[in-house]
Amino acid sequence: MKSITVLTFLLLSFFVQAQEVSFVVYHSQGRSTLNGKPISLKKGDKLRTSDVITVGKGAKLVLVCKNFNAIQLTASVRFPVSSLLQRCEEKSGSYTASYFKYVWEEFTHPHGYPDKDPTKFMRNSGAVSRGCPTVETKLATDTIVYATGSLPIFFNSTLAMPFVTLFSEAENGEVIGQWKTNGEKLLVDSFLSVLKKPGTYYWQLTDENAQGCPPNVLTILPAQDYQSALKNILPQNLSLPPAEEAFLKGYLLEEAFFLAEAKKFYDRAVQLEPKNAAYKKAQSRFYE
Amino acid sequence: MIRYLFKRDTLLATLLVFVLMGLLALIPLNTHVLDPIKLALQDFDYNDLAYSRMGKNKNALTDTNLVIVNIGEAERGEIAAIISKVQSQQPLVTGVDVLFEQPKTAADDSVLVSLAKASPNLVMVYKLDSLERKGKPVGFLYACSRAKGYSNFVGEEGGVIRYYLPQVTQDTATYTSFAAAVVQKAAPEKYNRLLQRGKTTETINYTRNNENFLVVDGRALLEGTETVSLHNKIVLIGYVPARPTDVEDKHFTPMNANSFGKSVPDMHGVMVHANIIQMILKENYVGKMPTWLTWVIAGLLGWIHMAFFLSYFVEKHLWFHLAAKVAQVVSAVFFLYLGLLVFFQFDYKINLTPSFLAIILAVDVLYFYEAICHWLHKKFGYKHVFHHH
Repeated sequence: MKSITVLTFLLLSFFVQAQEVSFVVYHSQGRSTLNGKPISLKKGDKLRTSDVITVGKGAKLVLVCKNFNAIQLTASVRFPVSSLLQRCEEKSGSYTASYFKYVWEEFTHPHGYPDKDPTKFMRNSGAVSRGCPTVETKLATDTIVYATGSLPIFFNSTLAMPFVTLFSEAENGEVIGQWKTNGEKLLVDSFLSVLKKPGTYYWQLTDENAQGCPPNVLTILPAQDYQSALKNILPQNLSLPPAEEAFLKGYLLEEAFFLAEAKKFYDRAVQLEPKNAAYKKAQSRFYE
Repeated sequence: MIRYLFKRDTLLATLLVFVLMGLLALIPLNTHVLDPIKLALQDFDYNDLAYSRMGKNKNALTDTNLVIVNIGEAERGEIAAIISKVQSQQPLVTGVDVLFEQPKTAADDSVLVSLAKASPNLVMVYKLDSLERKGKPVGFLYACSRAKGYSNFVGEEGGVIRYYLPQVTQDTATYTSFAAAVVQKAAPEKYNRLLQRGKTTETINYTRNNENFLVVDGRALLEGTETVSLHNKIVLIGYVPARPTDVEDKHFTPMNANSFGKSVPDMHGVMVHANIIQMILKENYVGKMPTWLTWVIAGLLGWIHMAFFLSYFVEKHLWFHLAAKVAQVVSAVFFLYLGLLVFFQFDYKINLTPSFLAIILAVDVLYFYEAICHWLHKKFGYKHVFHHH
């Protein structure tokens, strides 16, 4: 009898945990939906970790976390509630503390002058940018054709916390996946945990609100199509030294956006001729 | 008033004004957080009024020796084609004011790389990341460009661009600005004279606004419908959008119609560079009064005003405050006019802030000085001009 009671109690606890509320809707403006159902979210609605909310165009949602922090969602995208949990952990001080912190910093911060110390006042860039100003990579990642294989992309970013964000469309697409990076490198192979089937997808390094530069294109091919595409790209029967042949193939694959395969051939070229500076330079872009 | 000019008390009271100014300057606190007016005006220079209100250089003619080619919405491939087309007309120098931060597609990028490598008179722009990466250049064409210059402007972030830095030295590397790099190709002797001036920063002498530059459309150039000849000219390739609300690479300059408060950026980045280039080529730099002369003038004006205030304080005390206030307002208006006139006509900046400060502080310092004199008289029999009023 006692064991049945304990088991029932454990089952009930488990059930309660599974239904734990993560957020409460504090304010809803416009149309935002829950789990794809045509029911508009309204004040007082409870959201659980397994839920997915879609913020409509022009809509605004304010959610209250368990620790009484509030987060605001305005981007017209789809958010798994689980991806919002980490934003609740951000600490926000009281109004008085924030005010006096500002006053103290202003009091003690030495105000410089551009003509006296110009190198400290050079953040204005006098050129239009054709590229992504917040993310810098050595590889051309605008378009990648991929199936399997290791493909690390090293980057430098001015974003405080860069996220890999996957979109359904090139413009105004829904967020179909988002995760934090370590700030230095992302692995294209990890995209396959979210992208289960071949197709054309769009991705970019963004902030937590999925805001960033226009997304890059990632085409995932079925294994067979991928192999036959490789066969079409790679020339056969070349009368070149092995290292040079490997480098040439790597170059051709990179031109055709097959970066994972290009990396393999650059690795081989360096292996065969370790002292060749051109081969090492081409390979190094995949490792730093 | 004249007889008070050479009284001991006038000189000592004037000296006390400057001692007080020095003591105030020593306070390490930044008190402007309490002053919304000061906050609003912290990026204000009264010489900006010479441009916005007095119409300095308003009627400048278009310089046909400098042409700006507008890239519009062109992507890299088209920009590379525009550069190629411009180069085919054998300009004196071409400056590309478009920043390519990272590689994009191998085909387009390889054309840009080969252009940058092949042309000695093609100046490519890059950005100096002065804080995050300790002055390292940003732009994937940096390493392969034969001629290059940084695009960074000097000014508060989003603030007015008044100053120009010809070169920056970080550790052992020296970086040249984009405008200086263009002039180095176009007129090496002018570039050398710029460096010989030995100034870390120069004040930009704006001579033309957006409407006074010759702008040609890059696409029209490619299509062959543009008839302007680029032969032997300085050509800058950059972004000049048609919509005035497009503020990409648009900056605040002293030529803005609104000298302070909220407004829209008024000048495209490529045109700011063009103004700097024209300043260097014409060598019409803005002079600046040396600091020692600024303080000598402040001392003289403070002394004259102190004599005036002292005469009213001692002999017509009833009218002292009124006279002092009127004198302060009249002096402020007159000397501001004088300073602006000198800047307008002679491109010479006079800093009258210490003078204004001395005139403003003189009234309150006079009361304090009177109290000191009375105390000294009691203690040591010190003689002074003040008597009970």
